[in-house]
Amino acid sequence: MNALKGLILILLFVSSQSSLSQLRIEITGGAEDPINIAVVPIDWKLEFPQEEYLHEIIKKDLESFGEFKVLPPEGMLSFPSTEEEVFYRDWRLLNVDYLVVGHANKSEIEGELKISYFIFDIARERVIHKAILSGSIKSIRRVAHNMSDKIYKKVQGIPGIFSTRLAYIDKPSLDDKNYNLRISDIDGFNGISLFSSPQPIMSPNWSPLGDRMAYVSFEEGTSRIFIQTISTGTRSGIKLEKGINSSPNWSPKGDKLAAVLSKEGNPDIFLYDLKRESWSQITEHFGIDTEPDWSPNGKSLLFTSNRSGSPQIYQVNVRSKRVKRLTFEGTYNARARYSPDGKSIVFVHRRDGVFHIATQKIKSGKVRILTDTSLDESPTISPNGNVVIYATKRKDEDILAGITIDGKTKFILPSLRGEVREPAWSPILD
Amino acid sequence: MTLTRKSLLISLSFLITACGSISNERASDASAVSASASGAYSDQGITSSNVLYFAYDKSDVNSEGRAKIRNLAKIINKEGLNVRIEGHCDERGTREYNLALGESRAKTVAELLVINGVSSSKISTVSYGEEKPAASGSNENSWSQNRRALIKTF
Amino acid sequence: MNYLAPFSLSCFIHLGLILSFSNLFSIDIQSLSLYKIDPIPAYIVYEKPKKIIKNKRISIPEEIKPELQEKQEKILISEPSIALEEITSISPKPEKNFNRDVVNFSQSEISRYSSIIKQQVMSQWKKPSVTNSDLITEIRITLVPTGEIINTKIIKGSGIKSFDDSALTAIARVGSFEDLQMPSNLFEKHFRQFILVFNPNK
Repeated sequence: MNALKGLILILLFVSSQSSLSQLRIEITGGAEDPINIAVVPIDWKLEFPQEEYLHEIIKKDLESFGEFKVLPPEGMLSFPSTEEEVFYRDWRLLNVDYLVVGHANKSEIEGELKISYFIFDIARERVIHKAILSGSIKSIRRVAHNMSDKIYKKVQGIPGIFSTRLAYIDKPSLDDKNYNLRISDIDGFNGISLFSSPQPIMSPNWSPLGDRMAYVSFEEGTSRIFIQTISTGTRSGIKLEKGINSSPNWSPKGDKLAAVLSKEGNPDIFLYDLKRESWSQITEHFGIDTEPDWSPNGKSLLFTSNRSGSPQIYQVNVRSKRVKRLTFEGTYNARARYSPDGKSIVFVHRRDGVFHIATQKIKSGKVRILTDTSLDESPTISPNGNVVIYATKRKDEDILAGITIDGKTKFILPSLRGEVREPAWSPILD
Repeated sequence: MTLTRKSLLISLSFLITACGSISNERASDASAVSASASGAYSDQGITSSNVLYFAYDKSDVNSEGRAKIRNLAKIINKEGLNVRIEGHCDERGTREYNLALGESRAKTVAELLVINGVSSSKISTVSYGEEKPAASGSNENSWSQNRRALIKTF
Repeated sequence: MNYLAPFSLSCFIHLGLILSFSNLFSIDIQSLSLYKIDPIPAYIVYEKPKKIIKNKRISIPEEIKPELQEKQEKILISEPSIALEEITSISPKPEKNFNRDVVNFSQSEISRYSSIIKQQVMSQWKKPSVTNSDLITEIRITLVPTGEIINTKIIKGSGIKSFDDSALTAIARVGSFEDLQMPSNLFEKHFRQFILVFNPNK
């Protein structure tokens, strides 16, 4: 009987030979073209006219980093505002990949509006997102940025950063004798001075929820770390120690600050517990240890150290205090920041005497230079890991510039006043 | 009974999969309030200021500097002055790293003053890194002017 | 004793084995037939290069053309065994009415059409930014002989909806493959249904 079963099995096996070898074709890449998106002017159903057009703000947002090409209204054949009014074929003819339509109505809540909008995948002829978005009529820009974020997330799969903010420092000028710590929307609008002082301000760092800012102020004649609540303006200095008190960096849970103190004779990395108001030492070395950055999982810190003879990037486990060197290329690597996924770092790298922003996958150790500008410093990474903004010089003036992490799109931030430095990207603000 | 229940279930699941649910979203507001330094340090009361210069990325003092310090030390001790040493850097390199470099320059000068007889209790050091340059401009001429330590007496 | 049942079973199994194994070892049953086969001439010399492709509408990607050129030139030799080899490898399979289950297509033919498909999908795939990590999606495609895509099914998702969706959108944008005219048994064996593996390999 076993022999019979065996024969039947052989039969079955052999007859199924042909179906096992189904052809597999590898698609290893895609088109480099930007995604074509059409944002139909939102049908405005409120009594008063709109001060700013949502579709224009969304267009500017989406085109910021070369990922999208937004069809202007002049190029549209129809202006649907509901799902029923969309004829996929019309948009397919215009080579549109995604379509956004919507209408705005007054909300029951005083001072607010409600926007019903839809996002369509034209090729697959389906709705991929529909929502009712409410917001304040006075903050129409925020409403637009919110829509840009949703569109971006649906299409790109990672969060949009159009509702984030940027902190930066501007130095005294003819108009203003003070240093100012400012924040503005990522597109440069709604700038406000958070803190103003005749003495230098350095190293702004956002708390994980974006509600507070830590920074260094020289107002007392020496470097001291301050924490300020953004919505109220209240600020206080943390426990002052002898020597340098600088480079504050919030832990992911927001309960500690990593910072630099030189009270032990030379700059070392310390942790400040905000609840206990006490300092604890993390690194102990006679050289310079500075510029800590907390890993997204809260377990380790990046820092700059010249313990090997010149500045290089190191990683220290917060619990075990074990130190590991990360950079081995070049003689100057400093001011490193983790990418949001914790797998890469972005830092300042000097090559042939020129300071660039570079990136390195932590494990591979291979340095990839991102920028072709020089005297670059203070890189800050977007919370979706896609864009780096940094400080650089143009015609002897301090400016902020940016580049996408793939190196393909470069831009300068023009809408900031005067000479600016030390950009710090906010987290995603809800 | 089971037939209608089945068809109801099917049509319900169809509805969910076909349409997807409409989400409610909210654009939040974020306000900020300004603050300013309530009284800040100023150089009032400083009677003299002497400057020493440094080579790029170095904090050691040259012979000219050491001579200056020797002379200053005599005056400081004679007149019982307090000393505030400020360390500065040129703009190249990262800001926080330069803060550390500025401090090593200020400390080197302080040590030399102590060697020359000044009491360490009279001396305070501070580093400004690259934050307070003497000259603007991204060239060696400006940079050499910024790599300095200031010895202020009061 | 009933011998009929085990006997018929035995016959059935043997027949099945023979048929299946002929499938596996490409035994040409027809060649065992008693029909006469014309003898192949010993010497074959072509004056002009024979036109290889019967169907004019197939556009051959540049990279394959030199390959064919090479083969065309090779025809002018006099060794019978080599000539025979050339005949079988250059000319398309004669479309006689064989009852064969299997036709072995050369790897270059499969590659040629695979390249055409790959190119058309790649030109329509706008990778989302989430592709900064290692993602792979496998989608089974069903075609009709005109090249039109009639069915797509994700057989192995990447776990990220936007990535999977971008692949499906790319396929939807293609809609119908062009320049895919090929012998019908090649189509049936490999191209009626195949798998696209979206693997950008960063």
